Amino acid sequence: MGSREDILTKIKKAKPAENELPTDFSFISTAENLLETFVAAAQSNGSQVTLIEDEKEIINYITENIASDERIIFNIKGFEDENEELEDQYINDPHKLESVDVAVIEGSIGVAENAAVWITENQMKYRVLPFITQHLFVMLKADSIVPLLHDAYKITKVEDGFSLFISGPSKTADIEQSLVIGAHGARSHHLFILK
Amino acid sequence: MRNHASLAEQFNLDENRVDWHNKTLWFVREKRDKQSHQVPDWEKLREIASKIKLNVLSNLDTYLMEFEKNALANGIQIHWAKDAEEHNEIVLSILKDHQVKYMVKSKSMLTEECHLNEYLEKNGIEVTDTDLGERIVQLAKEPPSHVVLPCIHKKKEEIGEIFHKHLNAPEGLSDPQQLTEIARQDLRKKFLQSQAALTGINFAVAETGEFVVCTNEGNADMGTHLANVHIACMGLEKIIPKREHLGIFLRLLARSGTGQSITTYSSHFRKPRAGQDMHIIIVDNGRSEHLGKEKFRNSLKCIRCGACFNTCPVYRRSGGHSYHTAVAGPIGSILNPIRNREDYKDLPFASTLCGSCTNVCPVKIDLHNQLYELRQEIIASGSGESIKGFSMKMMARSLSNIKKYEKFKRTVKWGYRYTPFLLKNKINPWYKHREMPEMPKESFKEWYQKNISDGK
Ligand code: SF4
Repeated sequence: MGSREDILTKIKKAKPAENELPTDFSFISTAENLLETFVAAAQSNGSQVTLIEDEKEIINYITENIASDERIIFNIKGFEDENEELEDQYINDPHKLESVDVAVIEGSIGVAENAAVWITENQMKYRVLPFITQHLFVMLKADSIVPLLHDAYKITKVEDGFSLFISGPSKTADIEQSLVIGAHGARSHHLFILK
Repeated sequence: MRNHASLAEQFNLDENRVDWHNKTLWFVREKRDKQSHQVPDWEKLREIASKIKLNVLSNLDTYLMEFEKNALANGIQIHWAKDAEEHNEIVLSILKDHQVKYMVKSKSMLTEECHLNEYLEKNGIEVTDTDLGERIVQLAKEPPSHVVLPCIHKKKEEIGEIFHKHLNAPEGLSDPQQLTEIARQDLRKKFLQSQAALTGINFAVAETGEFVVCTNEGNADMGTHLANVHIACMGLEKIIPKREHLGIFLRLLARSGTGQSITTYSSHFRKPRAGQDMHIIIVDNGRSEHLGKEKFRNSLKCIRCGACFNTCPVYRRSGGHSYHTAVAGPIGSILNPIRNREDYKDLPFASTLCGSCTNVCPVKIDLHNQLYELRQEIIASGSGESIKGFSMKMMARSLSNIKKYEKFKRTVKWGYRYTPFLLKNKINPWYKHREMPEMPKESFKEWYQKNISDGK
């Protein structure tokens, strides 16, 4: 505990007089239509967007577009039957997710300005799932889109062990600033927006 | 002597590379401009971010204690390290406790500052950097040259060669897409094998005891959600008071750094996963002393976005390695000499003081003023560079006295006209990389006396 006391004492001696914490966090949103702004931002982040009327459309999309031998984890409430992992309810070892091709999860808040979607641990079930899967499908209700990041933080809850904003597919520009989609996380990011 | 000027000179030998480096970074700077102009109250965001950070500096000890209390309640273990050595020892002891031989690391400038990799390798632990840029420089056995774009100094052909040598890539490959895929496959194996993962921390929230890690590649998450041990290292200034403040900083960070509206992943870690061990190391390493230096404490607000690097005309033309330190660029030229005056006294001079860094800094650090102040201190303490220092003194003497100045001016003018080679040579440090201006036929004073003072 020596260093802790040392450091705290040094800070106490060195720190400046009080500077007030600002309280005005009101910011202007330029979004005229939240859904349109969100979709445009998502596309410029490299995501695919599909507007749907019913959750079932995701299942249809998967049957039509994804080969039947691909491993899919479907984490949307009410559609557990679609999950091939059903009998394997408790995957204790995250390494077992290595071969997942598609993961479908629900997000709780979308941010129009940057298309970031807030996803909680409950929604992903396994923390590594949105990263280790080759392709990530995220379902979001259109009425849960808010204008700015500040609006999202007003409604996020803090009780979860891990949660995050995801705004698109994994990417990098480390080689000569050329944008490459698909670094270590999911190679593609598909948003289904439920109207 | 290893100093900025001589290292920059080496970088400048390859003119094409300098040109390319300059343009690549300017491209990122322009993306930043475009993004920031799309936010109507950008200046308000900067102002509030700056004020939050100033409040943090005023309450650093209480926020750190609040954070510690909440993080402990969440089941995270907290360690405090007064310097780099203690930080490295703590990491090693955690790894030893779990008999870890193999660790993946996501980008953390703090561990670069502490030279953690070399230390762990000496102690028999294999460390793999997993951010693509960091991995490339790790394979090349070089330090990163930029806080956000670690291998911005490397061309794709060079990266192809490195991958050919180390990762069995076919010879002559230079396509970024294919090179990234090779790295993805290789690093996936490392993620799956590794027993421990180390990450940096972008923001630690006192109110909730959680911390946020921002990446585009997802490497931090791939590491930590697979490994049984997660070690997160933070400089003690990374604390912010409340979760709602994250909205401010996340809006500024990526826009300023890479010109994105937000990073792909902004991960909020609050509790270890069932069966996982999570540790946070809070590191001082000179920061508390820095806090006591009134003129320079403002620079502790830095959120390491990299914007000041991308805009700096000197950085763009001298390359990150010329700063011979982990954090280069304008902010590194302040942080390093404050911590270690002797080794980094050259860095405050690696600036044109044009103020561009100050203009782009999202937390409103007055970078160019601090660089100027540091120069004054370094020169006053007599440890400036000898050549410039000597001529500075001569200048100071002649400029401080009108008669002497007039005489000095006449001498210089005569000399410049008739013996230009005396100034236009390599001994004159101002002539390097600059054209000396042509001398006007008459001085302003002569012109004024002729034209204005007699009433024309
Ligand atoms: S000093 Fe400002 S611009 Fe430079 S890295 Fe830090 S926060 Fe960014």
